[in-house]
Amino acid sequence: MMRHDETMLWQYAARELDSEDARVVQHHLTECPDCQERLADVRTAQGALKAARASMPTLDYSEVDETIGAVLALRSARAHGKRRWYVAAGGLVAVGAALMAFGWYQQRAGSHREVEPVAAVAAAPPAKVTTTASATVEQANGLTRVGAEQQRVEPGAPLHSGDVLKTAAGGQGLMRLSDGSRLKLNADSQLALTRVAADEVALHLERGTVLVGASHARRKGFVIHSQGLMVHVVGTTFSVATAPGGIEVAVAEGRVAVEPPGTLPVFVNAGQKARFDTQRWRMRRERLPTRAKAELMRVAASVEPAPLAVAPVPASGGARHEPPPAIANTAAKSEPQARAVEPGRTPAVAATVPTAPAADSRAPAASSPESEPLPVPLLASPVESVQAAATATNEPEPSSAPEEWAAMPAPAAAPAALPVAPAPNASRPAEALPDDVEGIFLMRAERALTRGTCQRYLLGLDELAADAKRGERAERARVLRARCFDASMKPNEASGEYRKYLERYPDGRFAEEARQILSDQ
Amino acid sequence: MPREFEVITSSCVGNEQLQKPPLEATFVPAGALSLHRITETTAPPTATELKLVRLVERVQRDDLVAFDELYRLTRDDVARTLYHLVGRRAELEDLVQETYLKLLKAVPSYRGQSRFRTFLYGVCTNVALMQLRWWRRRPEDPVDAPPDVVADGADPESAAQAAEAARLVHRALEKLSAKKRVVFVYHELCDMGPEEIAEITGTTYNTVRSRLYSARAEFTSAMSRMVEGSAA
Repeated sequence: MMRHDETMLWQYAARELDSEDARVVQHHLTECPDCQERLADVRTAQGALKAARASMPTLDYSEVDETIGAVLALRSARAHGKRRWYVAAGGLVAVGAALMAFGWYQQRAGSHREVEPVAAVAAAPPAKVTTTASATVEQANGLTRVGAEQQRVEPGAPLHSGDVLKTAAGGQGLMRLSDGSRLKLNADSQLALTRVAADEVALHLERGTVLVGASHARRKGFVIHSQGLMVHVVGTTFSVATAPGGIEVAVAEGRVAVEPPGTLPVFVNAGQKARFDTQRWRMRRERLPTRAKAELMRVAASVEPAPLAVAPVPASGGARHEPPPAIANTAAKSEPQARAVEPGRTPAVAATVPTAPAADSRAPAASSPESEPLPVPLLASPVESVQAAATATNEPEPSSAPEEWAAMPAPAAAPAALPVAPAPNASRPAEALPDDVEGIFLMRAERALTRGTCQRYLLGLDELAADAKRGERAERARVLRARCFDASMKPNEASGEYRKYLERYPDGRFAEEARQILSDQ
Repeated sequence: MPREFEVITSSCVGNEQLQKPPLEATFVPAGALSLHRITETTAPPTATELKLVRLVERVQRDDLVAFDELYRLTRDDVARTLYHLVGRRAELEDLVQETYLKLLKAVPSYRGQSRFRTFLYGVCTNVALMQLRWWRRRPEDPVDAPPDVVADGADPESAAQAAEAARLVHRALEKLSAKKRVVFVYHELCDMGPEEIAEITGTTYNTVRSRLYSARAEFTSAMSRMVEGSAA
């Protein structure tokens, strides 16, 4: 009956007993020193509870506010566009999105430019649901902002996360984002700028075509949504197009991570195309025919001022047009060399150029957009200044570049090696932002791990882990897989992963963690 | 469980002609749930259940500004609850975020079958439990930093004492099983009644009671061991 007494003691101390029961306890207490002692303990405990109730640490909700705001904006745009992928049966009314990274497109727009110099995108304190003005319109023709009333958007107008832009038939719009990327929205299209920040971009193409010049700024991510499909971009050459019954993603250079809704992300590699059946979201991978690839490259070449190849442009892609459109900014490589360059990766020389602008300065302004490929003089100085920019924040723009990229808020991420954080706290941090698809994928997977939502990354992690050429990435991916299984209460699978890890990396960074876990089992 | 919510869902937002009977004491007034507020909150002092339910309805109709409003109204309660459930300051913002994102996903499935607060705290419980499970397998995680002392203008010293008490309480709570911990925290720190806790956790009143009594005993023992340990 000790436990019963115990219960009564607590209630007695908390004055939860009626007078009769209280008397009983009181009487018992006079005869029971053990219970008296226990009562004292109970009182201590209750006192601590009472004091603890008043305690609450101050939290910084700014990131939470932003994330929730961004999610809401995306949902809202989706709802507004009334395009739910599962409803878009067959009649995919021109939801084609041809996305091409052409890097230095802005050079073309030189003569058309009516924009005022871009002021430093000062990061104003994040507002409630939206972030700061994160994009400006450079050119507009029949461009409107979708909202309660359709407002015409003029050149020079600031744009914000959450804005939804629409072009009329025959209209177009040219925009620049705060991370240095450029967007061109073609006629009869609708695009939601779900989130546009210096370190993260999320767009939702609801209809039509958008051309994207993704800068090489370091970002947490650059993703384009369309019909629930997500395409993760890091300055590669690829296209997304609607085909009968599906969406097709073709990659000429590099690698793109595609996430169909509700299923696991997959990579589409250079020389491949993947067709996603939008009815059942099945995927089929095919080889990208040479002709198609050539066409892709040609289109890309025509809009971008050729590569600023300092290092040799990787030719693993096969047929190239001249000048080879190395979307990968092959400019200066600072320290993150080991990270950015991976064997077998096409835009292998993707340097981490914090400010795309610096590169811009190299190509002289062209006369008209999309007219001809510009031969890019490989100027040494801009390259060096780019290199410096890797550690500095704002590149003092020496350029005669027509566009004033000047005060781009380049993330001054010190080019440190990506921390392979064994602790799950990898999400907050001082770690450098990866500049390629896999790095971003790993970073997201790591974050998802701390939140317990890592399952969807398992397949992609497996792919990464199995690819021996990936080196450090593969190692990390294997460990993340193990931890994810662990977190998902699947100890057997977790052990399996740890064993695989030890087989390949017996002296690896996580070997001890692996051994410890395995010995715990 | 009164069925008035069915009628609510069929009425239009803003339509005052709700045919339902006036809500009695079936929703938990905010006062019963909130703890001492020494932090400034942006939420109005009383967010009634009705208001919350109406906001949820609007969210279900794709009015996402309503969700933001819901977030503002309930955020501090949620944060406090999570804080006590997981007993750590670390990653609390992440947990808050996760709770609301999960909530947003789950909104379509809320049909007024329970109080909205119950629904919300159900999500909190879920998020907290997952986090606890994660931490349980990672005992070598960095020790939580000492909680920031909330600057209560009037009495910083008592705020510091409160923080220390919370620290002890949370350490003692670690000795409890997750299920008991949840029940104990909801009852002893969040002032919820056993019926509501039963709803939130999907168990019965009796189960809650028995877990509570057991938790109290374990908590008392854990506290006294800690106190003794530090006194020694």
